[in-house]
Amino acid sequence: MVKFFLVLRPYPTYGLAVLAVVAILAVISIELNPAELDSGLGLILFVQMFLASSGFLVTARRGHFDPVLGCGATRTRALAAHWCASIAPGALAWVAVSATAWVSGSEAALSALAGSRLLAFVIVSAVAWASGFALPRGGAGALWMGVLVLLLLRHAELLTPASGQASPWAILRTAGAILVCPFLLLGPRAQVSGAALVAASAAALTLLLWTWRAGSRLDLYLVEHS
Amino acid sequence: MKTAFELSGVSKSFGRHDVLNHAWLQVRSGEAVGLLGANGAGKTTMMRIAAGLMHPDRGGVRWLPREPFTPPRVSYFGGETTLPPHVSARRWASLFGVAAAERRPIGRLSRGNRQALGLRVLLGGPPADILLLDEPWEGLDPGGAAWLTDTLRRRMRAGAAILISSHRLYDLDSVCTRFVMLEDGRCSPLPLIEHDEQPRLEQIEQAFARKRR
Repeated sequence: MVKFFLVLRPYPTYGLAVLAVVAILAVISIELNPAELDSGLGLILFVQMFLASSGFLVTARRGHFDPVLGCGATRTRALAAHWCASIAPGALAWVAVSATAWVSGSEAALSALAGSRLLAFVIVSAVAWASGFALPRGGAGALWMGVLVLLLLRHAELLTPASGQASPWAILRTAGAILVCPFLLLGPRAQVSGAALVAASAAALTLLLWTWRAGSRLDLYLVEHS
Repeated sequence: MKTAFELSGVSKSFGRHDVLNHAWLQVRSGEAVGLLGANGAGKTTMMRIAAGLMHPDRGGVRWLPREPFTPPRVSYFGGETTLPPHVSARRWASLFGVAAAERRPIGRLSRGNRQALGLRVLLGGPPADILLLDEPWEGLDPGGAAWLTDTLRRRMRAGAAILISSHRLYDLDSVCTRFVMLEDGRCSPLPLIEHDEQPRLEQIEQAFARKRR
């Protein structure tokens, strides 16, 4: 079923082109200086915000997914497959950049393949897909970017010195900050408690699973498009 | 003949607008039923509920297996507008194990060719036990329409249960064994007299006109 969605391409061609350019630039800069890993990963994360926001419902209500959603098919499986197809190009770019950094001897590369940096990718992929479920393609990415720009303009301090503490309030606050800005998990300054990381990842995955469940009960009536 | 699928007491509303109101329909294996109704009568809603793409507010849909413990194979086609325009015709067909020579994106094909592609992909794969077709003859040239009619007749003889929604009474008449009219959210049979001197097509046209009055 993932193949079905890969053939239908949930993302625009120009999105893939931008991702390819970003990944190539990241690989070149890491080859020259392995310390540039986080810049490269940050750019991929940024593009992934838009690519993963693939607007499932809008396309489904055009009838494009009828063969895999009706006629006795398991809808939750189809939704999971659509998510996998939506995040696949970003995941490929992420692995390519991280592997290049690992080969170049970057210590942080391990965290990009199996640590807090990887969680940043998972959070972006889950939240962008789920929150963009009923929006046009790229809609959740645009909204998310708007929120980040707003926070930047207001000089908001998302991570405080208390972010590494283990009090429930500090954990919740830090987890919320990570969910709003997963970019915080990139870079050597990321001082967040393990509990906050787990809480943020659990919240993102819960949102994803809830969307799969809720989406499987939705009516897929046809909406004409021009 | 065994019942292949049934809609029992199906109701569906969109806001205050009741589209289906306690509609009942049974289709048996080896028969083709023509679903008639005015524009906006709820034919597409009924087809999509029968295909499992929409959920009724009340009532239910049952697909019954032809063989015990084997779920029936259900195929639905909602028309050429439901095909993804950016995917090449060949790739779309290959997803369903059907060969197609056309390499252009579906959106660049003519309307009739898109419709023909969708139908050939649907009917070219493994035979379905239940076929649900929404306006299948729309846009087809005479050759394509004849191919579709012939294919549906063969599928029906092989035991498939077919529900077709269409306004093309001539084509429906050439395939369907009986007709139901969807009106005020309910299905009612069109009474046709076999062996009458009046051709069946005329009877359908007159019954349709009477019902709409």
